[in-house]
Amino acid sequence: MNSHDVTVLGYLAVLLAGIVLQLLATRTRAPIPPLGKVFAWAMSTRTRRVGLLVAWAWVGLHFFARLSEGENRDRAIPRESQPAISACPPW
Amino acid sequence: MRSRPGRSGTGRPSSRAEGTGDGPGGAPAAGAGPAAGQLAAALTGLREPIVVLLLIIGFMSWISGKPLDGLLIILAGTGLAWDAGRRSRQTSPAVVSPAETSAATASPVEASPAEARARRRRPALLAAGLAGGALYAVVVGSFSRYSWPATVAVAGLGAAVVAVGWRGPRHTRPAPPRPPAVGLALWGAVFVAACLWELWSLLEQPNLATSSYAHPTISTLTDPVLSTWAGRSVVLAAWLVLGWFLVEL
Repeated sequence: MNSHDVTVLGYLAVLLAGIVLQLLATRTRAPIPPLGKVFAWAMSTRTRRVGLLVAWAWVGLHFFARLSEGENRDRAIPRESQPAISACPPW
Repeated sequence: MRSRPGRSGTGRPSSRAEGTGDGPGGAPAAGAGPAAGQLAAALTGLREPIVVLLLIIGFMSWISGKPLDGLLIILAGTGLAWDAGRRSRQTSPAVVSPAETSAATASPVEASPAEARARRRRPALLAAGLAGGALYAVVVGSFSRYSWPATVAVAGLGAAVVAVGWRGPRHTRPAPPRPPAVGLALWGAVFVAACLWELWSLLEQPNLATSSYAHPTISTLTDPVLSTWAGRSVVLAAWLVLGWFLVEL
């Protein structure tokens, strides 16, 4: 298992934690609100509502919009960064 | 414009508490000048976690080679902090409190004729929205990433949705109760863990503007998907659904 795999597993672990929380919220009596209720509560004041919508808009801009020079995501990962895998500790 | 009890800052009726959060507002500093008052208002608004989050996002965007993106988010966060602070200083907690607003609006109220008409038109509007969203996802997904057409389409829609959110909630309904603190803390922990993992990956890159295969960020992992028309359209559709969900809450 290399660093790439560890990093991806980290993201998957966070995603799994979210799924587990949602299941606990909807299938048990645990004091955990479903994510929808968290969002509904968060959207109940103007500051949080506008803040969340700005964050949502930023996601779209980040992945699709050209606002700054040097946007360089639409290309393959440079080869020179790949040998770094072997240089990383094999945890 | 001063906030009034039971109304949003724009004058539209709202069933929700339109304060800055759950805490009481601060009192204006006696004898402070206008500039000092504005600064104090902005600092008061920093108590809102979402404001801090936006400022962090803006800072990270700035240092990772996207200064204009970062500047926009920082400006939005600063404006929101100022607005939140101003509102908290103008609104007396004794006049508008979430509990009172919730209790006042929780009682059953007969639907007005306008609401009944809107309810009848809802299926047609839903169908039109779905068709429009699908068309948007397919058309905008056909544009290259970071092209000007894609930028205009995404930025325009984002600005429109934020403007809708600024005016107030689209539906009048009782303010939801605050979820249990334990549950909020757990969801917050998941969110913070995701952010920290992304930050760690970002800092492990050769530099902040160069992707790393060994330590991919979410942006790097999604590059293969977003390099195809179909992938872009699916992600745009998911983005639209999330925005629709937030606006409808």
